[in-house]
Amino acid sequence: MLRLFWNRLVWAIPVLLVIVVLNFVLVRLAPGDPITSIIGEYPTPEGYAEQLRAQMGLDRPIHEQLLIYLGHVFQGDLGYSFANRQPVLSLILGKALNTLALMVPGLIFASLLGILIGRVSLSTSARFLDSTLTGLSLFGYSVPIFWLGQVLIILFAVELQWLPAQGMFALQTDLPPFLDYLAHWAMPGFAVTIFYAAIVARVARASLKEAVTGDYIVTALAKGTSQRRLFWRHVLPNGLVPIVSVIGYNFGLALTGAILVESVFAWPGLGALFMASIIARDYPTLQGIFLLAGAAVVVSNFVTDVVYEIIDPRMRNGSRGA
Amino acid sequence: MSAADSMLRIRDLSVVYEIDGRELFAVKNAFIDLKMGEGVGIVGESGSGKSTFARAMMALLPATNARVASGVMEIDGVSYDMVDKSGMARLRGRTFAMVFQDPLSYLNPLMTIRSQIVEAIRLNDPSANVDHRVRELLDLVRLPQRCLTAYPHELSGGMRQRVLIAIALGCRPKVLIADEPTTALDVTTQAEILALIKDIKREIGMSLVLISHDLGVVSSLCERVFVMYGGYTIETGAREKILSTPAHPYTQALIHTARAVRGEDGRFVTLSGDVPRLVEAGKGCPFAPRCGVAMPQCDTVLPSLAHVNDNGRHSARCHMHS
Repeated sequence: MLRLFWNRLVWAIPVLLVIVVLNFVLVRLAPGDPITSIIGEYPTPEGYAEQLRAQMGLDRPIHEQLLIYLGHVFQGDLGYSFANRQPVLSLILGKALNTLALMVPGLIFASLLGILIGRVSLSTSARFLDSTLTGLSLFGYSVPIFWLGQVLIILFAVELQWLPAQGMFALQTDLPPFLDYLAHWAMPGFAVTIFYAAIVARVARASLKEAVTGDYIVTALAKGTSQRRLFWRHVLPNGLVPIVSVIGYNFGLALTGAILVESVFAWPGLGALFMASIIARDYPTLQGIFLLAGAAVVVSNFVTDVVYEIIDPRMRNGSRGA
Repeated sequence: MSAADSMLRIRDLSVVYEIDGRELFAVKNAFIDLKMGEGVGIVGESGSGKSTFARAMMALLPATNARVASGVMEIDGVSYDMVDKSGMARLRGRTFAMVFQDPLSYLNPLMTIRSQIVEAIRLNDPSANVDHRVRELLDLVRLPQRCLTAYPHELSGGMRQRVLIAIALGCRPKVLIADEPTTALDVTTQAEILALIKDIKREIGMSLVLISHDLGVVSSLCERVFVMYGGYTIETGAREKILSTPAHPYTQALIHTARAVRGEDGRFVTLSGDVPRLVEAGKGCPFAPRCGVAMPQCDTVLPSLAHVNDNGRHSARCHMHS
């Protein structure tokens, strides 16, 4: 386990390095210019733009800029966001926490809901419920999340006026902070949950249906196992690997997976910052977001691998021969 | 045999498979008797209905297309309607436990040997001294204690079969059902497992129902034999009588092929033709199309079970004896 941990860690470094370099080059290949974005339409003195360019180091050759940037990254300095007037690291970490506050509960509910739908599909006495849930999953998977978001806003915020239409906290409210967060989370959280539950359910249904046909299920039944125990102890663990892999994938992409939802509900997260940074050509922030998102994928892949090994002894290295 | 000295009696067992909307009998009017501590064998080719017979006892028939059409079971003086699947399912474990053919696929790959055995013990006796029982069972199946922490994929085929036997015995069943317990093993391991089952049967006085296509295997473990063909029990009697004076032409052919008897032309005697498929089952004797001594009535009239001799303990379903 420890060796695998080090192997993974050593591999993560070149992967992240490639992510950093590629994105460094890519954002600069895109049309547009940060200096123009900062100055905007205002009239400025002669030579001000060049002065600003030199001050930010953008007048140097691109490979020099890259080396300087890499040197800073290795020291934990992701640079300074000229658009937001604050260091990139604290900026994106703050926004990332907001995004996680939206995504993590949603992904957890979605995972549980997805497995539950898979469980229902095994029951021979719940055929109708199963077909209904399968239909709903297909709907949840195919409906555009921005459309669903708008419908939710029209229904619950505009017509019924039950829930706030946007943001994460109200500016003025009598509610305690947690309830306020919950009220704001309800609609975007629902949209996230529905979408990811549909993804998990599709995989869970297939893999649980396969696990339940295993011969070891017959052995478990022959012992006198109850249906409940059969599912939790035998069916679910044996069908869990594909489910864990899709859940891990969802979590890995969680930081950048909510761009549309955050836009629709004006959730102050990483997705919203990402959109704003593209428009501002805010290179350091964009690079920081890419690096963080890449690191999240690497970490979630590692966690997923560890969970595989916990679930399935056949995946462990150097298994003991008896 | 009289009802008094048998602990288990099954009468008139019929199992129906629904295939393409047609109901086809896999087992018809089959029966067995079993005395306490006795071993009986159900012998037949694949397709004879012997495994379906065993699965019906365990209420482990595939739920989607198979059902017990009729059948009465009496065990220790209590009688059960075998059509009642949930009633029969309650007998799994404490009344019947089963050993299966392919020990790798019938063990849960994700659980240690210990937890699979412990599950069998706990489910059937929650107050058992688990550690003591596990040690006892491992000694009984001649496995070293270090196997307890292993997973199924780390053991050899013979060891896995010992584990399956330990799981079945862990239930403390009244009757052990073994479905082709040696078929998937290599020849030397087969002999070991047979010797093991024989020892266990003697040591703890286990009542055994052995399902096999191999008369040799059956005769080494069982005092009495039930021969099945085309879903019917076509002959029954003490092992010695069946082997020395088989009454049914099918049993005769089975013994000749098993002993590799040479015919007049010097070639091994073989049984030509195939076991009737469910679809082809006609009105007469199921063996008539392959029978060397068939009479005209064999094609049209199903022979009834008739005593051959041995004080009514040897019977056959054949017109030659009715």
